[in-house]
Amino acid sequence: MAEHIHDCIVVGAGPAGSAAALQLAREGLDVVLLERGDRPGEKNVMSGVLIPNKLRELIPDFVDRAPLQRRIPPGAYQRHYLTEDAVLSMPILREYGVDEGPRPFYTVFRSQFDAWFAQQAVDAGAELFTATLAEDLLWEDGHVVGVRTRRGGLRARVVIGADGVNSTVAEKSGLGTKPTPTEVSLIVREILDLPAETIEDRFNLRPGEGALNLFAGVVHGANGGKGIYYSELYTNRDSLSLTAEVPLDVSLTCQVPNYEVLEARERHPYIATMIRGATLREYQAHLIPWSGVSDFGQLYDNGVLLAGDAGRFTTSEGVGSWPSMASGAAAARTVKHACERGDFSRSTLAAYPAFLDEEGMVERTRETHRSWEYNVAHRQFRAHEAETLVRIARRYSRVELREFGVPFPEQESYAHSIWGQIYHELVKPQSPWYIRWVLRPAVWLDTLRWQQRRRGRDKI
Amino acid sequence: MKTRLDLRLDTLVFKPDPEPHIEIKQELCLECENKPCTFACPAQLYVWDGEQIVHNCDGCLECGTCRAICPHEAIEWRYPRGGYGVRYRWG
Repeated sequence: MAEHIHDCIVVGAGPAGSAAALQLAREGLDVVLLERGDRPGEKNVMSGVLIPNKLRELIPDFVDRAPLQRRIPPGAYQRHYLTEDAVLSMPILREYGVDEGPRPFYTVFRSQFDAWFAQQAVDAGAELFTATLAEDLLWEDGHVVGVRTRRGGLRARVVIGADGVNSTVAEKSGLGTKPTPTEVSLIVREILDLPAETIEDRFNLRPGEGALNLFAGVVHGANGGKGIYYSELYTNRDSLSLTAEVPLDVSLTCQVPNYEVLEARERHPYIATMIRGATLREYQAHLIPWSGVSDFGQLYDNGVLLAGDAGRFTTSEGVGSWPSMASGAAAARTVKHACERGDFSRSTLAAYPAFLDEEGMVERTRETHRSWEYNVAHRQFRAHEAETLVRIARRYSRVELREFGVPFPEQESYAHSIWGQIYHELVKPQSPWYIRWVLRPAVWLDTLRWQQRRRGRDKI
Repeated sequence: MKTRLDLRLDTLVFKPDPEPHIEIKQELCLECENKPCTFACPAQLYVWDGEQIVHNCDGCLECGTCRAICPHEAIEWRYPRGGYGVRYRWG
C-alpha cells in the first residue's frame, strides 16, 4: 500500500497552527497538526494579552467556552514610563457606561488556551499528534512533500510551518534564517500568586475584570551601556504576570543578565506596591520576533507556507496572538485554493499575500517592519526616552505647583521654555527634516521671548 | 546556597532529554570577546570557567536566545525531542 498522503501538515499547535488546522478541517480537508509538547501550549509563554480580533471570527462564542482569565476593558490599559525613582503614567479614560465595549482584551494562560484551541481543531476533524517534533522536511524534485519525525516520515501535499520564532520549517526550507539579535526580544516572565479579591481591590477592578500596565524603562549596563526595555504587569484570575522584554541587541550592549532586569522591575517602588505580598508561581522565558518580513516572497515556496511567529507576524507593538491566528487562517485559505487547483508549487501558493491582505495582515506587516526599522535606527534616542519624558513632566508639574505659591527657583536655569524643551528633547532627535524646519522658526521666536522674560525678571 | 535565580528555576517542571540538544564549538569561544551567552541566557546555563564554556542542557527554557545572540555561530541548538524538555504549566 502506498504511504498515505495527507492534504496538509501543520507544524506547531499554537494560535497560528490551530487556527489553520481548524479552518482546513472545517473545509473538509485531511489535516494533521503536529505539536512537540505533551500538550499544546506547554512550550508557549503568553507575553501579553489576547486580542480576540480573529478568534471572534473563528469561534464567535469563545467568551463562553475558552479558558479565559480576566477581561480587560478599554480604559484598564495604562502606559507608564519608569526611571529609577519616578514613574510617569499616561492619562487614561475609563468610561463605565461603555466598558462592556466593542473590543475588550483577555488574559489567558497559553497552557490552557492553546490546548483548548487545538481541541477545537480536533473537534472539527483535524488529527493532532503531540510529543512529536518535526526535525526536518521531506523533499521531492525541489518540492516539500512532508516532514520527518522520530516516528518516521509524514507526507502531505503541503506543509504549513507555524512552529514559532525558532522555526525548523523556515530554516530547513531555506525561507528564513535563524533570528538575529536586532530582530527578536527576550521576554522573561514570572507568574505571581495573589488572591483574586486582593487583585480586584488593588487594581480597582470589578469581579472578572483585569488590568494591564505597560512600563517603558531603562536598562543600565555595568559597562555604561543603556537601552530601552518594556515591562508588562497584568492580572490573571488569581495571579499577576510580570514580564520584562529586552531586545537582544540591547542585551548585547548593556550586558545585563535578563532575569536581573526582571528583578530590577520587582524592586521599583511603583511596581513593588502592586505586587506586594505575591509569591512566585512560575518563571518563564521566550523569544518574540518584532521585525516583520520585508518581502512576502519569504513566506511561501514549493509545498510550504509560513504562519505565526515563523513568518514574523506581530503588530508593531509586539502583539503576536491575533496576527498569528489571522496569518494561520490566510495560510489555510491559500491551501484550500491550491487544493482546488491541484497544484502546490510556488506560483500557486503566491496567492498567500492576497489572502493575507484580506485579513489585513499585509498592511500590518509593513507597519511592523517600518516601526522596527525606526526603532532600531533610533535606539539611542529610545534609550533616553523615559528619562526625557520624566524630566519634562517634572518641570511641568513644578510649574503647576508655582500657581499654588510653591517657589520654583530653578525656573531661571532653563535655556528654553517648556515648549522649547519639548522640541529640543523629544521632537528634534526623532523627526525628519521637514518637521524640524517647519518648527524651527517658531522655537527660535519662542526662545527669544523666553530669554527676554528672563532678563525682565532679572531686573525686578 | 541557592541563588535567587535557582529559586525561580525551581518553580519549573522539566523532563530532561538524555540526548543533548545543545552543542558548543569550544574553539570558537576562545576568540569570543564578550561571551554574550553567559549573560543573555535566562537560566544562566552557560558559564565561562576561564578555559571553556561549561553548559548544561537540562534546565533549558528552549527560548533560543543563545543561538540568536552568539556572534560566532558556535552554538548548535535545536529543540529537544518531542515530549522532552521544559513544561510550562502557566505559560
